[in-house]
This record gives sequence, C-alpha cells and structure tokens, in this order.
Amino acid sequence: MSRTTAPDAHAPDTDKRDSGLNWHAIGAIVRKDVTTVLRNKGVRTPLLVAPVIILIALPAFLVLGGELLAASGQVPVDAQGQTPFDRLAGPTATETTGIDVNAPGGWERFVLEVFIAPLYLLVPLMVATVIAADSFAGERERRTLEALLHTPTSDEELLVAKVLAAWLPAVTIGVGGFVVYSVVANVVAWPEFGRIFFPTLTWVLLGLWVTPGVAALGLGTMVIVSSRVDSLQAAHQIGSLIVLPVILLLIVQVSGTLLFNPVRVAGLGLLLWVSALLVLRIAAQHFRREQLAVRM
Amino acid sequence: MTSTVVADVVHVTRRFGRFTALDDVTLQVAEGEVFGLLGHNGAGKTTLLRVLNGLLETNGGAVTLLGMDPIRDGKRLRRRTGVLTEYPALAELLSAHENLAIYASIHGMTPDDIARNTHEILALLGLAGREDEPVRGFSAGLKQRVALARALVHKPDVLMLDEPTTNMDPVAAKDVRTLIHRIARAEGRTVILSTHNLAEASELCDRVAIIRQGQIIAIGSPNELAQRFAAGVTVSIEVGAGQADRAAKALPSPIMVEVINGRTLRVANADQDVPAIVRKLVEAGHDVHAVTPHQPTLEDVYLQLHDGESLS
Repeated sequence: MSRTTAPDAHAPDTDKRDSGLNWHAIGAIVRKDVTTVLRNKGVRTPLLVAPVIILIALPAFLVLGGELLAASGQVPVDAQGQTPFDRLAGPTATETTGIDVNAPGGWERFVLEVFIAPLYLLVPLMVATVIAADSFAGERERRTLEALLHTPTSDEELLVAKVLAAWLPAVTIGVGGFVVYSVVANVVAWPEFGRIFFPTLTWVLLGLWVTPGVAALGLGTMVIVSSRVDSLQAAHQIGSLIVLPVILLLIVQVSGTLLFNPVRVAGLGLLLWVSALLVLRIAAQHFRREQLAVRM
Repeated sequence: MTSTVVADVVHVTRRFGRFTALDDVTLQVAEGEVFGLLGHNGAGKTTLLRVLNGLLETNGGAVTLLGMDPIRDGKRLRRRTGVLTEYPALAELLSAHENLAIYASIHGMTPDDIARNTHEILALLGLAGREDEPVRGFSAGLKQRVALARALVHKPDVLMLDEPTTNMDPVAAKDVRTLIHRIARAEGRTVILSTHNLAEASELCDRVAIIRQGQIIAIGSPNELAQRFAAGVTVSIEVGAGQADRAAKALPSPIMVEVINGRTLRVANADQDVPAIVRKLVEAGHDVHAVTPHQPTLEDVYLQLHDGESLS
C-alpha cells in the first residue's frame, strides 16, 4: 500500500465555513434542541405552569382574592372595610416601600409593582436552567451527545448553539410573560384605577434588560454544573440552588431593605450581564470536545 | 498496484488516567477498503474511531484521515466523514426525516439536497412510509437504521461504523450488511467497521485488525489471518452409532482427535492425513459414513488469539 494521502477535494468550498462561526449549523442544532423541548411534555409542562402561577394566578388571587372571598362571605371584613388580605403587608410595607397600602389602590400597587417583581425573575431563570440541564447533562445521559460531537462543528459552535437553545426560549417566555403580566396587572387593578398604569419603568427594565441577563447567568451556571455531574437529576438538584439569590432578592424587596427602582434595576441588570459573561467564559473552558468525549 | 491511504495511524497511544486504551497502534486503511476493527468490549475500537474523527487527542504517535490532522482540521475532516455511533443517539421526539434533516443541515446541505437525500436513504433502508413518525416508537433495529441513514445522508467519503448491526434482527442486519457492501464496492467509499461480530467481519471486510487491550495483535485479510494463525483444516468424521470412543482409540497418538458425540470425531490439523485416517478407521472395523473438512475461519483465529476469553 502506498503512503500517499487522499486529496482534500472539498477544501476550496469549505474554507469560508471553517473560518468564523457557522451560523447555519448553529441554527440547525438550536432548532433540534428547541423542537425537542417543545415536544417533551415532561419539560414543557413545568415551563408553562410556573409562569402561569407566578404571573397570572398569584397576582389575580392577591389582588382580587380578598374582595371575592369577602363578597362570598368566606373572610371577615373589618370596620374599615379591609379583609385579612389587605392587612398582609401591614404598616411596615408602607414605611419601607413608600406605598401606602391602606390608601386606595395601595394594596394593588404593592402586590403588582413590588411583591411580584422578584418572583417574575424566577421565570426566565427556571426556563433557562431546566432547558440547559436537559440540553447538556440530559443529552449526555441519553447518549445523544456523541452524534453531535461527530458533526463538522467547532467546540465554540456547539457551545453557542447549546446556549442559544436554552437562552432563546427563556427570553421568549420571560418577555412574553412580562407582556402577559402587564395585561393581567391592568385588568385586575382596573376596578381600582380605571386606567392603564402598568408597566412602570422599573418593570420595563426588568422585562427587557434584566430578563435576558438573568437567563444567561442561569444557563452559564448550568453549563458548568452539567459538565461536572453525571446525571440529569444531579444537574437539576444542583441547578435548583440557583433560585436562592432570587429568594433573597424577594426578601430584601418586600422587607424594604433594597427596593427596586429604575436605577437599581438597571444596575442589577448590568451586574447580572457582567456575571453572566464571566460565567459563560468559564463555561466555555469546560466545554471542550475532548473533555466531553472522555466522559461519554 | 498502488492504492491511496485514507487513514494513517502510526504508533498511536491514548491513555485515560492510568488506563491505556490504545497502545502503540499502527495501521493504514486504503481508499475504498472495508476495514474491520475486531475486539472485545473495551479493547479500544471505539477510542480509535474517536481519535480518527478528532474527538480525542492522542498521547503519542501520529494520525491522519483523508490527509488531514483530526484535531487541527477536525471541522473540515468531519464534513467528509459519517459516523454511526455505538448507540443510535437519535433525538427521540423528532421524526426519522427530522433527525436526518437536522444533521444534513449541519453538514451544510441545501434544502433540496436534504429533501432528496433523506428520502432516498430512508427508502433504501426500508423506512419509506415511516419517515414522519417520531423515532421514539421505533424498535431498536429501526432506530439503528435511522442512525445509519443519518451517517450516510451527506454522502461521506469515509464511513465509520461502531457495531452497525447491534440490536438488529437477522433480516435487518443482512440488509445493513448488503448496504455497507454496496457503499464500499459500488460507490467506492471507505468503511471502517468496529465489531465483535466475527461472521459480519468475515463477510464484509477486506482486512481486519484484531485489537486486544489496546494493542493490534493481528492484521490482514480474513483469509490471510486464517492461514497464518489458525490451526490447519479440521475434519469431522462420522462413524457408526456409538463407535466414536473406540474409533478415536484406533487412531495413532500424534493425531489430535476429539470425540464430539457418540458417532462424531473431530480431527485437528488433518490437511494431509485424511485418506490415511479414514483407512485406519476402516481397517479397525469402523464404518465411516461421512468426512467433512472445515476450513479455519476468522472466528477460529480470533478465539485462538484471545485464548478463550469471553467476548464481554
């Protein structure tokens, strides 16, 4: 057998695709992962249920629940016409948030502008972490990752595709949830205000600036977590800890320690974006074909 | 006759921690050749395929495939290779067509080519009419066929198949072997086949490398290996019912004879001695009903080289 090698007949038309990112291939992988998520009932259902509870059911219940229950005689109404719901926030909330919850429309503003805000951040965070865990750890557990590693993609293209496949649905659901929540807020508060009062500037920043950042941070964290665990279950368990900072945010927000306002939300968004970029940079160092192939 | 070397592996070593998966492996695969990698599970076959396609780096030695360095030119190289992995690795919630279309798209094929190629290859593998069904509902054999179709959809120059007929029923396995044969012979593609199915390797491969604990212990065509390593022709001799024990004792001691059952003897290394053996049996008063020679097979070579180790 001679020691000559086969000519690379494809070389001339592939050079362009080999320099820079091949967005055609990235798009194909994103389509595959997003379609898989959309068709997976076990993944799809919690991704839709959580936003519905946080952004529709909870605000509607907190704003309208007291009046509806009082009207049906299920809860007592005091001499000032207040239900136990109205007293949930109490005077401390008035002092710390600057919203007089006892004034007309005060309770509605407290719930819709202040109380739900940190909970809203859970939506893009949850979506990003659930999809990212499925996309990285899940794909390895199902032994489907190897087929992707054998494709003509660079490590960077695979990472970008996997990140976008989790980030795009998270941002879509986050921004879509923001729009739906805006409608819900105006509808449930209409009897009190009789006008469109939502979204506020703080919430616009939350919906359009903080949401993409928090999703990026969540999935960057999950890329690192997924590269270090062997099962989808372990990735989910460790990934669930990501919500703890948001719970902390809820506590400081409701207690009035650190209230959301446009400047603080813009700053929070910047902090999240910088953190996300740093985490994604670290994640990129863990996402190497060689390392992934060794763990298969 | 000169032939073009497609895969050139020279003194390649790959370790995982303290475990040596490939130990000083050297082999060449020619263009259009069907080359088999034979070995137990864990022998290093899959590692070698991953090294060839640029998934794993080596700890020593040199590798080129299609004239390219698999690590440095990995992206360009993988555009010209197709790999059937050990597990089908399909997106279970996607249809057969979608699974193929996604990978064809990653390979940069146009929508028209994708539609034509996926339809052709799925029909060729007997999946026409089931193209739009989610593969989750397919049997293991059907999934393997879809995975094979995915490896072929972009018409690769080199096809690497890791246990291609695993989980297939005999008919499906035969179809796949026929297809592999056709790809290699009619279309001139190079096929590197990892298997521990020895009959499959004998049927398909021009040459095989037998791998044991990461080392190549034999390489050549199945016939060459049989000549080189296996014991000579074995002969089964059928005598009268219940005569086998006495017939065996009638043969002189240098002849290696084994009693298979009450009427069958097996004589090893009987290439030249068959007439003399039969004459001695007849002279000893035994009836000889049949004499059947058995040429050594790849399986004989394999078992001899592995000294009876279990395949698992």
